[in-house]
Amino acid sequence: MPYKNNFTAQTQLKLSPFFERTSKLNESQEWRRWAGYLAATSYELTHENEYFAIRTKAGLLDITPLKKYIVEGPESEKLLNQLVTRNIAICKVGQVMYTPWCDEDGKVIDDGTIQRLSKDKFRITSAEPNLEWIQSNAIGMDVNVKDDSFSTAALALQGPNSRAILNSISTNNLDKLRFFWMMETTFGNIPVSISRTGYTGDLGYEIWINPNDALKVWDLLMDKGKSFGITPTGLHALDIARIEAGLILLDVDYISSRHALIESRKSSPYELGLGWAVKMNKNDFIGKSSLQKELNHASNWSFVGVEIEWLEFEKHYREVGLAPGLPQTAWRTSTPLYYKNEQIGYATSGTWSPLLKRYIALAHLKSTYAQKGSKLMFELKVEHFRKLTKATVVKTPFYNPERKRSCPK
Amino acid sequence: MKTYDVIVIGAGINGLVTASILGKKGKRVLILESRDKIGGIASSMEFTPGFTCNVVHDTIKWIDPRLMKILDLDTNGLQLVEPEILRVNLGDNSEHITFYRDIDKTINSIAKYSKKDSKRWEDFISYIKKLSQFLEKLYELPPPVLPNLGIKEVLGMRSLLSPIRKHGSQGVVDLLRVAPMMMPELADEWFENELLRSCISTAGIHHLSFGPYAAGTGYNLLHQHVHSNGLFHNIKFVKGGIEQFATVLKEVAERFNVEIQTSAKVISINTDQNVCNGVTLESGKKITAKQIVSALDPNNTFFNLVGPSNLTPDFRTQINNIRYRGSTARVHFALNKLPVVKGVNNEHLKTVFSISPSIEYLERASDAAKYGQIPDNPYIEFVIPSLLESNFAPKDKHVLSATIQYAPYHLRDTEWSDSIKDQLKNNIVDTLEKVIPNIRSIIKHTYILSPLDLENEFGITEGNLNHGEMTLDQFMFMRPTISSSQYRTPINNLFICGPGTHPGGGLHGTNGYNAAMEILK
Repeated sequence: MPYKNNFTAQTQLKLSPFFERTSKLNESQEWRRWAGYLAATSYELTHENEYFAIRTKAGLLDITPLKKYIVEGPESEKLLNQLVTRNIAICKVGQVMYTPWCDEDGKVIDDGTIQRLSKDKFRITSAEPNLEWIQSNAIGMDVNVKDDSFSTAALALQGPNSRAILNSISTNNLDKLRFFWMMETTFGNIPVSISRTGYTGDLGYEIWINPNDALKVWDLLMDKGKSFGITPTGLHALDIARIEAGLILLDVDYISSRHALIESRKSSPYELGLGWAVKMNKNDFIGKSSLQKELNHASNWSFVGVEIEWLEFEKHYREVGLAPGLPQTAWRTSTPLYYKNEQIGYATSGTWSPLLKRYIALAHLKSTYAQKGSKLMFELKVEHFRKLTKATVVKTPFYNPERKRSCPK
Repeated sequence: MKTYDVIVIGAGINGLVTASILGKKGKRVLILESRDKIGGIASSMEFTPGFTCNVVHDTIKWIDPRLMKILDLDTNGLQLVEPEILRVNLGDNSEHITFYRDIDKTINSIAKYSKKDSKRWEDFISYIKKLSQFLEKLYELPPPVLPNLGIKEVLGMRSLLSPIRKHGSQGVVDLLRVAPMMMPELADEWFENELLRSCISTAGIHHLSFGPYAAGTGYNLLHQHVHSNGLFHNIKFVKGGIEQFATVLKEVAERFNVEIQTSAKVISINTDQNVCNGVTLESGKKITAKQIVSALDPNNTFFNLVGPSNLTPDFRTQINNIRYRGSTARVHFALNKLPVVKGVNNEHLKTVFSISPSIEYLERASDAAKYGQIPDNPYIEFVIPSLLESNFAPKDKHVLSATIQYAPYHLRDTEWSDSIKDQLKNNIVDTLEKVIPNIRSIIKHTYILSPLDLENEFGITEGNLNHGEMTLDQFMFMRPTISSSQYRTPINNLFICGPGTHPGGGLHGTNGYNAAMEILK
């Protein structure tokens, strides 16, 4: 049942079925556009509390704006296997796979998750609209591709208490639900699908429901989650968490090959650190032959984590008489990285990690400079003047708690 | 089980040409034809007892001379009839201009309407000859691989220099001017008389879905005049009817051990990991071969036989974007007696007639197609084939075959049906009546083929006789698509040789010849 919006607001943007609640909870009234929706930037005046909810309690995020597609029919596995770089044939019912998908030149169009709902039924999520792409590749196949974006509402419950909250509501216990698997259960009499997925790199779940049940599910979670510290969380907090988790964001860390004006703006999965998700031993998929060539010649670019060294960073500010100018929120401005005097890459997003107490960034580097431990220079603007400050290539995820993957004993 | 080097799908002119040449070069070739006879759109049929017609084409504009030579078609029995009169263009009130093989006679015919135009005629036809010579060279080569044009390709194109040497770079400039032109602009540069102007324009709209006011009709006009030796509206008849062309090719092919199976409909071209390895017939039988050549149009070849899921997204989009929009219908009348064409001597009927009083008349006929309707006053070209082939009709009876533009494949808010065909027939008879006053009373039987009928009968997508519109955006290296314009396809071992390839439609066999050369490389 498509969701019928009953609220009005002075906006041309779409309103999620949770808007009735989120709009009242949003003290800051800070909103931003997300895939054509009005989405909360932060509920409180600053996002810090929401960030710590993700890492120490449980953050509740409205992720309805995600694009969702249902692919159903006898050839749905065949279609998806041609479309994406991972091997969907080994994805079991109830399993979820993260994967990029490419154009014929092996350049990434978008990335998202694929849920196997049954043998012949899948749900794909993506950042951008992909219906036309999926449908055009389905021509002549016995599959039905439909837009599920308005027929399914979704919440993310992320943080160490998320399992306990869901267990207090769900008919079925979630203790055995493994990382990147999903289950069907009910909240009272409301059917819900829960996947153990998320965009925070923490223990967390995503809940997929009929939009007509949205408010009831929200209220249940907020009510039962209260004693666990459940906190409505906005996009500012999420952005910090996803950088700590080393997860890429379309249009920030890479440009979809569909929109890239010039070839050099496009990236292959190898150039985005997603080589692990490219399965060259499966049958033909879109981009395979180009990716094979790249594999034979090694990629020009690598995607890495970078840590900006504290002592020198602090010194730059001290020299002008200022306290260290840490970013208040995660930034998304392309920032040059140098080796000696040569620019060898650029960071695409970065943040101060409030938990790790480290200044971290995600960056594209020419592959020769991308090995762990490489010493680079990061461009910094201190009181209107450009400085170079030391940075090091480090392993991602920056933050990777054991609870992300583990199940209770 | 027999093994084949090559399977050719489709026994039309180009399929037969490719198969014959490959057979001559020692390949073991099998042709599979879905119909119960060979020839494709170069075939004849008895459309009512005792009356036979050339189903689609009555004439040939040009045949590739390389083909005549390599397959020795002259000595192998292909007899081409070169009529003294090439065309009679009929206007209102018995006005008409006659185009003769003898240029002086044509000039006299034009002079009746405009002295000034008659004086320019020789210059005009040598101008058209000069420009079509550039196409002649271009047509002999596979189009360049774009966008990565290498030195090898450039060297391979050096034969294009010969017309430049002959005519200077001005020739290239003129070609680049005229090809994208529309007919009235070309006519403005040369002639004043409307009957002459419109008759020239008819060459630019041949089998197109749009009218003379469309850009690029200049190119279509030149395409019709390749190898025409300075004869405007040049035509040839095939002795025995158009099917005889296919029959001669079949005999040649069989001499080279080419095996031809009719009523053998291919339902899929089988591929594995982008390599083509054989075909499956409707009967379920699978036949393998090292190479497969399709003479069918790109839509049939790639969507219906290879299957869209075996195409890469870019290529699939390119194939999907090819415009067909067949807009030509054919009608065959069995007549009780010889028709009388107003103002035309009965001795002068063994030719093509066109009814085209003005350029505006042609444009208005095309307007209907633009809006998905059939025109009240269609553009008609007709031939009385029974005058050339006495066995096409019983004694003293005749066949009149007409080519009708514009009859759009896609009708607005409706589909082709018997009642629409009746309506079209009535409009045709009304139009013919103006030049053949007794037509209505002598019609014994009418057989009409809409673009949908042509699609159903011959398997040509949207009834487009050229396997894709002959427009500049579907020309040369863009025919059928930029990544398959060298008779090769993105699927290994699969080739194409039909009119959907460079240099396009017509019963000239160039596509089949070029494809064979590519396969033999």
